[in-house]
Amino acid sequence: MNRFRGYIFSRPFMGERVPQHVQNLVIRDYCARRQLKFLLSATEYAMPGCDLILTQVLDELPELDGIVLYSLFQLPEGRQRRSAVFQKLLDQGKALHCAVEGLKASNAQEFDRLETLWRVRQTLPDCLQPAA
Amino acid sequence: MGNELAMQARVNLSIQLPGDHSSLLPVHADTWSGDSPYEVVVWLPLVDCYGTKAMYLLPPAQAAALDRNFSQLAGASGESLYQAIQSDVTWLQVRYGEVLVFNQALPHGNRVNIEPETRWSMNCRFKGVFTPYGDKQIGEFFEPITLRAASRSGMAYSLPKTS
Repeated sequence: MNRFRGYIFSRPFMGERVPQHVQNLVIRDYCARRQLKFLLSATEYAMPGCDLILTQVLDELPELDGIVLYSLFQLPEGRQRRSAVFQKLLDQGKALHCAVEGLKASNAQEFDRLETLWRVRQTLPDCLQPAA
Repeated sequence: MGNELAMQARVNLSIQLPGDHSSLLPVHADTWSGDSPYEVVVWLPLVDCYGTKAMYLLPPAQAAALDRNFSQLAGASGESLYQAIQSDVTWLQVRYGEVLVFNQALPHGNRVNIEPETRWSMNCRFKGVFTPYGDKQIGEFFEPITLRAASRSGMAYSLPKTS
């Protein structure tokens, strides 16, 4: 099958904003390099914190081999919600790819790796900051 | 750097053929293009490196002087900047089996390799996990390689819910 649904954002995430067509270009290139069949990206709603479209893509998982996010940091910010996303992918034996980071997770260890990256990133605002 | 490190996720390989003008790195500090000043570079030659087969580095005192007078010294291009500091740079000699760890905030670069051999080298950046990041972020460029138990525990902690 080898079918992967793209997932992009229509709002900033982690203080970054990337035009949608650029997000799609990055995902398309990532899929081409790894010989993944890229299915038209789903675009998350712009409302802050909203992940309704991600939920819809997860509901579509039985028809897919996985999801290609533009960025790992487009996952839900809440730990429990993120964990539920990972668990759903694990339960169905599907893969999660993050195009910008060049990361892939399809087993518990690899999802733990993604979660560690999230936790470090969420901790950084409480750490030493660059000089102005 | 501390005892909790983040490492560049994909190590760079650099090949510099003799006489090749097409893949030179003009004088630069990595910080000038968005790297964090908290990073260091590990430079690992796969061959003996000497002369123009190696790289040059501007020592700390001269780099500080350059920082103070940058606008006067920089001129119109990277080449004019190199000409301004040429007499102050140190050409490194690093043999196969040795490794160089250097502060990438010090200006450095290479010139056309006029030695008769190709330079093969790898380079990789390291920094403290919880030190400030520049344009190269955790996840897309860096990955934690040593996280201590207290940090893992702290990152997983949240206050109990009261309702």
